[in-house]
Amino acid sequence: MKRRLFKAVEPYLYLLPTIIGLLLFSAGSVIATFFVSFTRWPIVTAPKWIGLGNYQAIIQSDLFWRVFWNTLYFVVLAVPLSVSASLAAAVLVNRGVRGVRFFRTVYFLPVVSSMVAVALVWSYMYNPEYGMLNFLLSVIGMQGPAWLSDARWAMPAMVIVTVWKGLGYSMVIFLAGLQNIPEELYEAAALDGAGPSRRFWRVTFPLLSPTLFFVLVITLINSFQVFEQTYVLTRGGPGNATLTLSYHIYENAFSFFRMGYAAAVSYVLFAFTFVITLIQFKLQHRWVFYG
Amino acid sequence: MVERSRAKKTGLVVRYILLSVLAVIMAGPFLWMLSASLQGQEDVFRTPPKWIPDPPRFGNYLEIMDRMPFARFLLNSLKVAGLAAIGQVASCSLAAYAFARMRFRGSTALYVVLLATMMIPAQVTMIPNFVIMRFLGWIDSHNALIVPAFFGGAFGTFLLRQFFATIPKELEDAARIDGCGRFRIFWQIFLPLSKPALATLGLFAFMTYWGDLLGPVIYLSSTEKMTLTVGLANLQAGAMATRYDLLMAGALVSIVPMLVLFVVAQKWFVKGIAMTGMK
Amino acid sequence: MTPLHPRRNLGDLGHILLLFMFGIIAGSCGSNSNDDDGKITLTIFHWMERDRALWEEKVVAPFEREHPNIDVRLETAPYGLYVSKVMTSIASGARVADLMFAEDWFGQELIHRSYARNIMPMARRDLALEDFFQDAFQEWRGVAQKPDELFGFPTSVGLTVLFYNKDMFDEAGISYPDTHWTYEDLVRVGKQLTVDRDSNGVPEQWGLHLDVHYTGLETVIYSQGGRVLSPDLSRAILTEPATLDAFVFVKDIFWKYRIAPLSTSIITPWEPFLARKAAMNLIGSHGSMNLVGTDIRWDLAMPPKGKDGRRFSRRFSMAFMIPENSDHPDEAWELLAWILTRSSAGTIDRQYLGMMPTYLPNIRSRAWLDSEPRYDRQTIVALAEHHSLPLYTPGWQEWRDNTLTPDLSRFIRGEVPVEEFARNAEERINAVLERTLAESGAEP
Repeated sequence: MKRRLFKAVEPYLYLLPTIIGLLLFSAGSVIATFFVSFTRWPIVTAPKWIGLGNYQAIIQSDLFWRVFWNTLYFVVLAVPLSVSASLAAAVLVNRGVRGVRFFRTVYFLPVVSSMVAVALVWSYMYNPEYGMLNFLLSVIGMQGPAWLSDARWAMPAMVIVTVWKGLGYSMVIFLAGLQNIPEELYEAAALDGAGPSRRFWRVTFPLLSPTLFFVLVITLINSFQVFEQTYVLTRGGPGNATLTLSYHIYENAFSFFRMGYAAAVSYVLFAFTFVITLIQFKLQHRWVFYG
Repeated sequence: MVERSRAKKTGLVVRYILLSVLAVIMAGPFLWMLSASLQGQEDVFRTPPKWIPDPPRFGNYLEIMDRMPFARFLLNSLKVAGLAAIGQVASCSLAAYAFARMRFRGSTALYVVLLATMMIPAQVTMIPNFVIMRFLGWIDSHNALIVPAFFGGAFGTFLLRQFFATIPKELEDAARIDGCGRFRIFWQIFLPLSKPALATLGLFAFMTYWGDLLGPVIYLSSTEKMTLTVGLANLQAGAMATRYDLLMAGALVSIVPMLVLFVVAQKWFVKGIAMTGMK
Repeated sequence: MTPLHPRRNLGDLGHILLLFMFGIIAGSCGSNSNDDDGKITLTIFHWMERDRALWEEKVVAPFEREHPNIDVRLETAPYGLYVSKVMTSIASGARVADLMFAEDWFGQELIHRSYARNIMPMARRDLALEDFFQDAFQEWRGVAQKPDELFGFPTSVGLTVLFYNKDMFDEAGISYPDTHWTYEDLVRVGKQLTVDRDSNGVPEQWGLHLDVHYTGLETVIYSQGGRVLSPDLSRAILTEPATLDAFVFVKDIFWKYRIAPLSTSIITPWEPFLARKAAMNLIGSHGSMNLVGTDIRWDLAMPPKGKDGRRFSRRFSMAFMIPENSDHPDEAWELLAWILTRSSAGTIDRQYLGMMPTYLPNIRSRAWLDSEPRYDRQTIVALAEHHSLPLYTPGWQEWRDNTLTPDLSRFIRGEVPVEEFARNAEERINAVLERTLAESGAEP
């Protein structure tokens, strides 16, 4: 009887720290934000209940939709690029050749640098007249655009910086996943006459799929919340071309003193991210192989 | 046979070329950063860039260390990041194990709630979190930064759960037959086999807490408790002016401990399962 | 595989782990005891961590000596996160400080929400107000501008000025900008100093650098006879002919006269001047700090005269405020008065290169005028006294950052014609102003 009770309670014991953490730290603030979204709260004075007022303002706001599409644009560009580049890098440094450890460390360098320093370097490289990028392009006869100052190229420019900085991050996660794939399977496949591409799709991909799933979900969630890059590279410019949701939220909360509106926008972002993540989870049984 | 080894050789060469090109792309900007950190304020933006600083201003690094209680800040950062990393690995691995291998009521709902906490941007949860910390009396204390790390996290739990889910059930069943309890299985099978994932989580958690600027600024007020990131932020930006040379030097200084940790963590990226003979 | 022991439930280690976690949360639930052994602790909140030693020496130590029952504590936050920290503390009901330093735009938002204490009565009682630059009081009062009210005491004032690189002027044999300069002179000299040596269409050196953020252009627009707000600052009016002409002039600087680079980095508006790519820089004087430690020979001059000899320079000031919820407002005021009269020359004035102290004896003193690095401090004084104007309204950041700056940017890049830009921007700014003025409860 006692054992039965213990067995029933056991999972919750393992989850006790997490549950306490949710109750005390994370979930509480998420719920509080929900209620704030129904108020007008200039922060310095008390909040005032306005019901759905903020949400109405969101629907009617041209700027909000602009920001929403900007964010979507960023996600659509950044996620596939980031995931595939990191995966390729992980496969490259996985095993076999000498010096992989060195290369892994080099690829990890951008990840551990501060975004401010990275932004400074990249805005220097993006300088249309004197920057390294346009210089390299001119060497092969092309004229580079004004990058961060060009409304059409500012977002792609931001995506490039994001992918560059985040490559090592997902790469490490993929590396961890790749370690779980036994060497013997590759050898068996090679003996069967499978080339490198075949080996990848038949051996690596299925066994890596849980990790890939993780990276996809996390990269998507993080991309929707892109903030630092906007803050340090463009501040949303030129002309709102790179204004993203998280930056818009921050601006409204701390520059425009519109905390209620910011909370409402956060919840719209949350709802959207939630739905997309849910869809991903539902679809995982089609391609993720847990063995 | 000969074609096989020739194909292998070209494969190797191609691989090295790709590795090197990527390395240049990744590290190139850092060379410029290194160069800029050894130059003066006006030389940072010189075009064409002055790759070799002449004379190199090592004084920038000394200035950084001089202008703040560097050792103290460094220690604080190590303490916060180190403890938080331990906390994350401990609490998330327990939770991930429960989600991966146990069936219980509310497991889906709990998982959903946990993941949902990742989807709200930090800008809006800052104020409610501050209220909570105030209530707990942890303002101006490292507790506000460290303790929550011991109470789970969505990222870490999700990551480890994915890894735990791939560990073959046969291992578990074999252990059960031998009479092992759940925790024993966790401790002796799951954890050792997940070394790469644990190392990854530890590394990432350390990185997150090491580079966190907002947390220390918001929660701490006494100078002696501040972390390195705050010290660097204070140093290079005046009200309307920035010392770009110091900014670069500071950024490079901040990178070193994490790179060291990365190299150390590499040791844990070993094969998890020796498949042969596993029966 | 090591042989596994017979059945154990949780295992000792598991117990230890859980105990450990509980221990942490229990052990850290301590109460932060506030020491109050009869002494009062005043907190100054500022972003001057870099100059902490200076403040300890020139303010804290002497003040504490003269007031043995008061302890002064310096608390800082990095400049970029200062506002976030203040707002977070305010929102959670925590006390921020007894004396809080603020820039005018932020101070205005706090004032409109009744956050700060009215210190005018105390100022009148304890200070000789004629010793201070009282024009700067304007941005530290509410919208109603009542002379009996003052919600922050300004310590320093900065203005938009014309920085110039002496070496580049000397090389070209051109005399430095002076008070007679008009915008025509600026364009003329700008052209002379824009040099494209290899004739590839991209000048290696530009005559001027102009920040396309709205704040940077305000000086130009107003000097040219335009304006953006109605005189009572309650409405935006961008469609007057003089204003439209002013906007077109700004655009011409980049496209027609080609004396300034259009593409500049957001995070480093000083980059062209620092890199010796621009001979002149029309920007806030408080940016002089960027030039410290460089070898650039620079000085500053008044912004050029516009049409009809009109001269306008955007003013920017910083002040100490006493929050309403401070526990010791009288002592805080004593400290503030002390800083203003006894130490500002040693602390604030030294920190803010390019800014003018509001304490007039300091301005007139040779100690300030001749202090290193030398630059034309008299110009700043003259500008402040005769030509400066702040233009803040509630919600200033919102209509400036969210609306006018991006719209202006699009116009300058040629994506929108001037009337359309002006009409749309005016509409949208007024929508914001309506809301923010109403929320701040301001009577126009």
